[in-house]
Amino acid sequence: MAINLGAPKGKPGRATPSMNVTPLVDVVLVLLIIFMVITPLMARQFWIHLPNQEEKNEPPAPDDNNQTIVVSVTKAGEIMINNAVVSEAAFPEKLKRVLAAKGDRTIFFDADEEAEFGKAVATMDLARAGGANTIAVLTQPLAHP
Amino acid sequence: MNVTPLVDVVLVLLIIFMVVIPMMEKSVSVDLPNIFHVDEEAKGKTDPFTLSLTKDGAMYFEQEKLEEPEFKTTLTAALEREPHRRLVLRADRGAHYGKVRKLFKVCQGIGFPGISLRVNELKAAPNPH
Repeated sequence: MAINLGAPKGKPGRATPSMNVTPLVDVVLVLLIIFMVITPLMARQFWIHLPNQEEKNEPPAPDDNNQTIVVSVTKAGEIMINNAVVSEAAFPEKLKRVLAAKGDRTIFFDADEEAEFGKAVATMDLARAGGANTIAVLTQPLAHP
Repeated sequence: MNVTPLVDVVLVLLIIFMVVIPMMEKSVSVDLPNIFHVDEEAKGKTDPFTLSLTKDGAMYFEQEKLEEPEFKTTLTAALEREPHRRLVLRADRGAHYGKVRKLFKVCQGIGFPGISLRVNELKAAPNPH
């Protein structure tokens, strides 16, 4: 006995099976819309510190290790701690050590004009993974050597 | 009386309006950066001023497009009007950092103590220790 796929009618006298998809579509639609609502609400925040302008005359000396820690991102996307290039994988560990040596969990941050903002934020994120509590952005471009 | 279809339709309409209303408010579309360590909860319950920076460098304050010269005056006026509201920056992840820094500088000059970046949270930490 062959199964008659796709035939509009079955054996005479038997009811044609038909599926009522309306409730299914209804539920799927509602789920879709619920996710459309929830996804934009998942955006979170990341607080960064803008140092007071008076603080600005305490200039971060990038080459002076015991002064301030300056994390910067170059145009090519490399991460630097006080002008020394650090690989992305080693960066949190390295920063953890530098911060421990300093005892203060504040870092200054800057990136190249052409650097991508997403990359800059990802670096700040890694810095937070490395234990930096306060991230202050420098509003004057760093003089890159 | 069978009220189930009625409830169903009303629920769908309700949800559609819940979707459409915030979309009408936030018309500026940006791709937010994705990071792992977000702030626990926003400090302060008042909804902040929203600044948007698109990928091509256009700036928006709330919904209005701003040109660079009027930017500072608009923000200063906003801060004077409501000094306790914070500032949130929705910047596209592809925007140039130089543009963002310029914005930081203006905000710093006006006297905002800091700025929140609107980000998307990624779940798994890259460095789990």
